[in-house]
Amino acid sequence: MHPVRYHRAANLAEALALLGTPDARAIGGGTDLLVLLKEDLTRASTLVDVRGLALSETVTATDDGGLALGGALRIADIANDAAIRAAYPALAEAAASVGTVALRNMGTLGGNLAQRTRCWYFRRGAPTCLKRGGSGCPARSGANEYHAIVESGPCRTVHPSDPAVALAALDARVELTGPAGVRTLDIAALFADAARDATREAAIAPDELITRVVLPGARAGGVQRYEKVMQRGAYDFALVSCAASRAEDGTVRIVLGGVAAGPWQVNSSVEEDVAIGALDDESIDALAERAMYDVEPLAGNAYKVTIAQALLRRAMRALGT
Amino acid sequence: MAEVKSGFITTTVEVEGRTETRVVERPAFEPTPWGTDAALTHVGQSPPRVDAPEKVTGRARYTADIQRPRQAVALFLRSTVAKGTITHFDATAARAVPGVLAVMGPGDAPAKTRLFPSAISYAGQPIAAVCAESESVAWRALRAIVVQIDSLPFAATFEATAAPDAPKVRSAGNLAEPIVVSRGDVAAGLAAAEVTITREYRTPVALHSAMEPHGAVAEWEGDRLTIWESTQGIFRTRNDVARVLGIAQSQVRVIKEYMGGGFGAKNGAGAHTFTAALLAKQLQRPVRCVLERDGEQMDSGNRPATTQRVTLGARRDGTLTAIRLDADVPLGISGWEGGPAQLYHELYACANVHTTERFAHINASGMQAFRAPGYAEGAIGLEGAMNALATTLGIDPLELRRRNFAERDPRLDRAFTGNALRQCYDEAAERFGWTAPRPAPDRAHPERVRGRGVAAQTWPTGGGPPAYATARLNNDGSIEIASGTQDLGTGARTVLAQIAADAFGAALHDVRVVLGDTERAPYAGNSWGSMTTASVGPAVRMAAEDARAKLLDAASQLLNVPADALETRESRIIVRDSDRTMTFAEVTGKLGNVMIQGRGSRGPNPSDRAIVTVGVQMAEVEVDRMTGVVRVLRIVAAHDCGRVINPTLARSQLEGGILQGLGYALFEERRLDGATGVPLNPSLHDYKIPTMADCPAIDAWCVQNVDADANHTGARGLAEPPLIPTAPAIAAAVADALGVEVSELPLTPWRVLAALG
Repeated sequence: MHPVRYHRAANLAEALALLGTPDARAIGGGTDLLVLLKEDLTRASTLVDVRGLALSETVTATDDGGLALGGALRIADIANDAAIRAAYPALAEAAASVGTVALRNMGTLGGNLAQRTRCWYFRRGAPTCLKRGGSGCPARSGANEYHAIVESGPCRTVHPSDPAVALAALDARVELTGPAGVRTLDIAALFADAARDATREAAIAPDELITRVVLPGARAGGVQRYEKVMQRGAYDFALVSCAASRAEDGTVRIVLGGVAAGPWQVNSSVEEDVAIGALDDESIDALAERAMYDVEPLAGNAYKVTIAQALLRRAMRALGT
Repeated sequence: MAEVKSGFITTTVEVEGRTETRVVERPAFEPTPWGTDAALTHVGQSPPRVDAPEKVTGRARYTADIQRPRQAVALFLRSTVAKGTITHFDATAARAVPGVLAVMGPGDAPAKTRLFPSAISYAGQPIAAVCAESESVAWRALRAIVVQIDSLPFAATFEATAAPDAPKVRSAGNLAEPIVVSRGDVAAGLAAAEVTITREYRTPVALHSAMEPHGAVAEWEGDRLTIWESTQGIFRTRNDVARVLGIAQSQVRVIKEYMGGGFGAKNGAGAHTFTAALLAKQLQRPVRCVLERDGEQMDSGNRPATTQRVTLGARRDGTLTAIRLDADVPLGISGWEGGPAQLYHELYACANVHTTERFAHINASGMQAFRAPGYAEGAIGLEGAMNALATTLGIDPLELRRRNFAERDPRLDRAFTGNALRQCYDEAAERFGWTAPRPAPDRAHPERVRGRGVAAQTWPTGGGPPAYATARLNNDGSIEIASGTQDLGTGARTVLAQIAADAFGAALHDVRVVLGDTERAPYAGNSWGSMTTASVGPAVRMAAEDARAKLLDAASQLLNVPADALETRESRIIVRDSDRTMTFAEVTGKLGNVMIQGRGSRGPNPSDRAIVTVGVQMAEVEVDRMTGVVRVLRIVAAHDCGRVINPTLARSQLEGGILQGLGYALFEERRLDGATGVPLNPSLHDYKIPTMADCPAIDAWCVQNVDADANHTGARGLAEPPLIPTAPAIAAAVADALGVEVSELPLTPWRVLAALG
């Protein structure tokens, strides 16, 4: 890779100042960034290590009974943290399903949300790829088993993060800190432009940092599940995943991963019907059909619709019967 | 064997399924075969690998670990187009990068090396090499090279290259002459059949994915060249390099001490070898050229894809009356005709067999032998069709195989030296519980369905000459065995030490095996075709016995007893029927610097006998009918490889083959982009080999069956056989679980769901 300068930032202010310099990139575990650099998929002259900043690796209780997770929290710590496991088991399960032990021990929450697409056309440098300087999506007419079945823009990428799918089902909000201060986005907004933005999937400006991810107390507990379908038993991204939660107030969230450019929440009318409950097999089948009625699979990935419907049925059975 | 006075004799050797006739030296003596009752101390035991401490402490140095003084690093620039012509190549900026030592591009290498042609014929083909002080400098310089390639239409599938208007992939033509092999009358056999089934199977391009990539370090001293190479054949690599560089074989030394896998892809010198050698000569400093992982996955060999159209004819009782195969095999830009047909001729007794293989060249990286080349692919078709036939006939698939057991080698109508396949069937069925009632379905998860399947294998494992070994007894009693073979990680070094220890009557810790060095050891062939134990083992045994005879001769002088009254045991000489003993060291100590040496060579194979390793595997799987995900729960494997020298190492071979076969069944598939011919998944994430989480419970063993007719150690080969039946057994189990066959590998969720409709 090209030579880089490495800085371990002493505090948030220093990290932000360094990130404001040209070609600076924040690095957590480096499990994606170092690969991108070695494969010449991104440029950086300065790496700013954001691990060890105050509160960046902690789990803290919030006033509304929720939890705030530091941006540099390790994926393994999310999977193992007692408070997270008790209040947000779907997130703990999602974290536990990430990659391998080594990747979970190194990877951070912020880095997991900011990781780039695994699309093989992007990774192998297809010149027509929107994200490699082209204007199209070679996956549309190419090898697209792993790509999106939902149109979200010109590109048919799927976001690889497992935690993002669970966070979406838990109404989490992401705090981004930049030179102008803190702004807050929900997960849907974070990935809203993933299929259009030529430079990134998560809407994080180059001089911003994911400092916290906040889970609302309203979605603590209740019924939660995360299910991930992958080819291998480990070290795979989701073909399709599904996070679902029924909060104590009865509201339901059902979110699919692996089907769209970001976590894809099913139509709210479906969630509302599940919230009403007392679903029998027939109505579950009908709801699973309805949830997927407007997807547009490509030649090689219609199977994802089948899997998504299977996961939806299982989630609805857990939440709505 | 005919009585001849000559010191040379003609014998046949089967290499990777191909029979070769060789003239070889007749050994000075043939040791008495170690039969079933041979008194052996070390052979048959499971001492730890003799090099285990080196490996687990990291002291073992692999080719990629070699660090010579002033060593420079070379990296390849590879083509991103599948076919084209380089019209412009400018390395000015690359040469200007500080630390760059040399750039080789189109036209810069001697024609014989075939390096860096301006005509591009596959994506991933090396275009140029940069040599620099460090890997990071070379990496940056590669990106400063300006190349323009005029793209041309390409053909990257069998269908595309066989089309009438196909682009010319090779000047000699895209299609080779079909290989047709026939016995009996297949039309008559089909006419006589009471049941006929026809199936089509497709198998993917699979990549070897060895943990250690291909690589070489080259260093010249004057006109002599030393090459450290990750190779399955040090002598073949030496001879390749000498021929291509136009120097004498005596000027080239090839060393391979430790190795992280080859699986058939490392059988000689490659582009990296010649590049390292040429740059090292030019720069007068050592040069390392080790492939990066993407280069390894893109362009270091592969198991070619196949399409197999199979027809079986049988009587209602299951007796096969006809086997017919039509196969298409796209080989890549280069490769040999390692097709699926041979297994169809060898596994079952059937009078009428007709196979046609059509081989084609395509614009993709060339094939190389991959663990059981042809047979692993052929087993998908033949064993898949056998299981389908069993279902059609309503006969248990294991029983169908028993009914078609071949008492003699059906291809060449000759006796086997040994074939305990029926014993394998019996033992595997017992330990698997093949006839036991099936467990009740999981009521809580009705979508999870279980199935079980079976598949068998045969593979020629006789080994053969030439292979040489020397033994020498130092005057402190330590023993060195030298043979120019190599240990790929299989445990050959340990197995040969065990054989030498028993042949010598020595303690195992007194034996050191030197291999992997063309200057320190006499010739042995490539470690391929499951040949090493059966080829080199007898040579090592003979060398040790030759030296032992001289030791006993000397001891008889010192002890004043006849040599035939002496025995050796654990490095001691024992006078039979007395309490007099001497250690080897006491004898050699009295001899001063007299060196006791032995010479061994592999004798000819028995004429007109088939030497094979056979086996059977049974798989149990669970399939989620809703998601299409297949999990293998357990594999039971029983194989007959003659005498087992080291049961633990044999089991390691079985487990390794099974896991590789599991990957072939479920995950592994090289993907090329249809529009560009560019490999899409040349990484260990995207090319999916099994993880530990995918490992089933494995119950694998070799049945007891000493084969003293194969060679005088009684051992045949084992390396490739266990890969062959795993994937078809898994595929059969999936078909059993679903009630429908999935006829294309790998059995991905999308293929399983498509089969379910």
